[in-house]
Amino acid sequence: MPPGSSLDLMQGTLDLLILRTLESGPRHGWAVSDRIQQISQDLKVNQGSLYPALHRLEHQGWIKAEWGVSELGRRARFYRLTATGRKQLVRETEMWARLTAAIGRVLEMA
Amino acid sequence: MTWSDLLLRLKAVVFHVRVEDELAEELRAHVEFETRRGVRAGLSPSEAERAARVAFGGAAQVAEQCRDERGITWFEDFAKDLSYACRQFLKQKYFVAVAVLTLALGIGATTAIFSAVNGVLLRPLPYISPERLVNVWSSIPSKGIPQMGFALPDLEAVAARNHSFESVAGYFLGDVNIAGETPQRVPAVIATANMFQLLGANAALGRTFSASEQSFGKHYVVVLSDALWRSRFGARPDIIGEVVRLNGKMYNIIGVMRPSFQFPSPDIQLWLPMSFSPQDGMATRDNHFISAIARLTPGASVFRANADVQAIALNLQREFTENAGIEGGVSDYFTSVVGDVRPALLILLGAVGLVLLIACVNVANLFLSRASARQREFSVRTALGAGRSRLVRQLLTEAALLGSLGACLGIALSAWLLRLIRVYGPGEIPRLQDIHIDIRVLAFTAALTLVSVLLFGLAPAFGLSRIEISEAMKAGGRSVTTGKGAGRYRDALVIAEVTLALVLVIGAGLLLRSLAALNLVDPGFRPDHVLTMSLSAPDAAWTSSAKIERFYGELNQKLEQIPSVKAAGASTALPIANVGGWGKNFPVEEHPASRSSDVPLIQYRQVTPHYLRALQIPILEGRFFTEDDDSSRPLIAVINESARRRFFPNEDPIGKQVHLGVFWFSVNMRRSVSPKGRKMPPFGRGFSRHRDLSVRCISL
Repeated sequence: MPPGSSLDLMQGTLDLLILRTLESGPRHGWAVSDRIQQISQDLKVNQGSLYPALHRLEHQGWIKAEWGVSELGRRARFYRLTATGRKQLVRETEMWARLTAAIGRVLEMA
Repeated sequence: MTWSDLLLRLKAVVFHVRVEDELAEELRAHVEFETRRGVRAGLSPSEAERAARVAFGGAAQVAEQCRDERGITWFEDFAKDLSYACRQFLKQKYFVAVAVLTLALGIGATTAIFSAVNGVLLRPLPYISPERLVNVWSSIPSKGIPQMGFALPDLEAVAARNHSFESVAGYFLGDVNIAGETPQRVPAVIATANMFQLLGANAALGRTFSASEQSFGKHYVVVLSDALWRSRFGARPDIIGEVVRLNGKMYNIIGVMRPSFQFPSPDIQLWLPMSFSPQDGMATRDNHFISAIARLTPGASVFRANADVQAIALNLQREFTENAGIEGGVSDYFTSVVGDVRPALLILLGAVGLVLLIACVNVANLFLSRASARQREFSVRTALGAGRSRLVRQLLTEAALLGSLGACLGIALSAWLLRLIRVYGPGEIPRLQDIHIDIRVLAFTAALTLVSVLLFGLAPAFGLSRIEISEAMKAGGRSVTTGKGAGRYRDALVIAEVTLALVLVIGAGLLLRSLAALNLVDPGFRPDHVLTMSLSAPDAAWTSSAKIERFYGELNQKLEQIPSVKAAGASTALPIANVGGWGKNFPVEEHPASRSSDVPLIQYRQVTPHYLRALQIPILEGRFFTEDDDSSRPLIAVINESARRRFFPNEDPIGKQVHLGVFWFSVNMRRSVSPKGRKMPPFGRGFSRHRDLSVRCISL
């Protein structure tokens, strides 16, 4: 993945991606960004927005942070999804589906 | 703000250092993970670390954004503003002292007066369901008497016939002599036995009256106030059943009330059951002296009760000739207690409110001039990226700090003022003794402070609107130019201040003028160098009027033998004092009234011969009483000027016959002692030579 050619995230979608990434289990910040980049193959997560987003989500009570030890033996801050976060994820996923479907329809038909 | 949010914020404040450390550690961990990935991809460790750092961007900015997301900056900013304000204030002691003192004066005065308003007007009366208590009264509108006491038979008729009250109690005030090693004269209430029950008050010790104690002979029982129990009986718990000599008769102590109980005023020290022997002649239909209080049945209105009592009074008029012209009415008890002082207190509150406003305007002005001196500081901060709201918050923090200091000092000041009010406050204001600073007053002060802070704290913020960064910077800090907006704002402040001050000064001036005018009114006597005292000849020992007359004669003689006493005289009521005098029908022989309700009333007192000399009241025509006018001589009376104008227009009153009680008096004349301007009943005033059991006030 050559730098510079990857897509920038659309405004407001980072929260959704973080929540979805954490659905499969607790991760620390770097692992979250790594996972998003790997799966998407084309998305670059700006670190400068990743951590503020993590803190914002924690602040809203959708994720919870705990200190733990990574697979490489480094102490790191692990985030996991809370019950309200899970609900939020369902809501935002649905919103996203509606939004993309709507935009898709316009792009196709208009 | 949710709970978890609040917890996070609190955590951020309390564990400030730990949170910062954790944030730094988290970001460091990220860079390390990124570096390892670089190494795995084949970069050298140093190259990998450099790449990771570049990819990450500015760590400080990321940390700052994280802090913003956590919302910890509000507290941090506040703490910073506060410590900055403290440091500033320490450098500007005079500014702080002037501002805080000004605010403390305004807040203190307003708090003190509001405490009085709260205690007198807002707090409910200390009785059970006080909103159902009403005053019941008689009146003779045709003779210009809007309210007067009940005659006992009328009161009993109202109690028996009404459909509006749960119960009706009567009472009147009287002074009682307590015998003992140190005799004491205390204000007392003589009340019907149901009074305590009506008010919903139980005794703290012993019991209150039982119904049977209202019948004559069984009425020698007394209930003490908490204050009297403590001051005279040493707060002894075994006081119940003891006997005390009151006005020469032995009374059983049956109860002690709670400290909070008072009726009708806090100075009352004991309560006696109302009971009259047939020989008293007190319970007649023409003797109106009993005040009445009643408790409305739930759901009854004052309006309906008023119509009810009026209907009963009209029926009594038809049934008894003595009741001709006598009507009745009901009014809210609370209003009757505080009604007179309500406007005065509210005006006072308005006045101190104006003082507080002026104080705020003053402090606002101080702030404004200080702000122009700080123009450069603000310009620099603006240049460094401080938003306008950030600067306004700084100013408001400073104002809040000043306001809090002023409020604390103000509350201390008001506590001291309240002590002064309680000690020196006018005695006519009811419930003044139990005013204090309570939760409601503190809440009021807090709100007041908040409003003040906004008022004066926002003043310099307006000046901030036109900061010209480059201008202020260029001027090298010496410039204190303020924008046009600030200038206009300051003009408005000055105008407001002068206006407020003018309103206050005019108000105070008018008040002083009325006071001066009141003092200039000729009271009809010389009030200087006059001392007064009061005493009563107990019923038990002074059984005949001849005996009493002799007693007062001797007392007068002995008093006048004291070298510094020029003259001594006694009267049943002191001049101007509105208590103790009473009205009497004044039928003039030559002007017979067609109906008894048309007989004019006169305010009348009984006095001793030297009364006029003691008060230096001039006689205009005829003569005053002398020692020779004893019971063997024809009865005589003296009237004042206004009585002459009213009752004897265009004729010579001297020698005319009037009927007072059972006696005919001939009339003499003296100058008026009830001038206009003083709050006085609109009657003429007459005097007769004293020969009555209840002569009791003596003025020297």
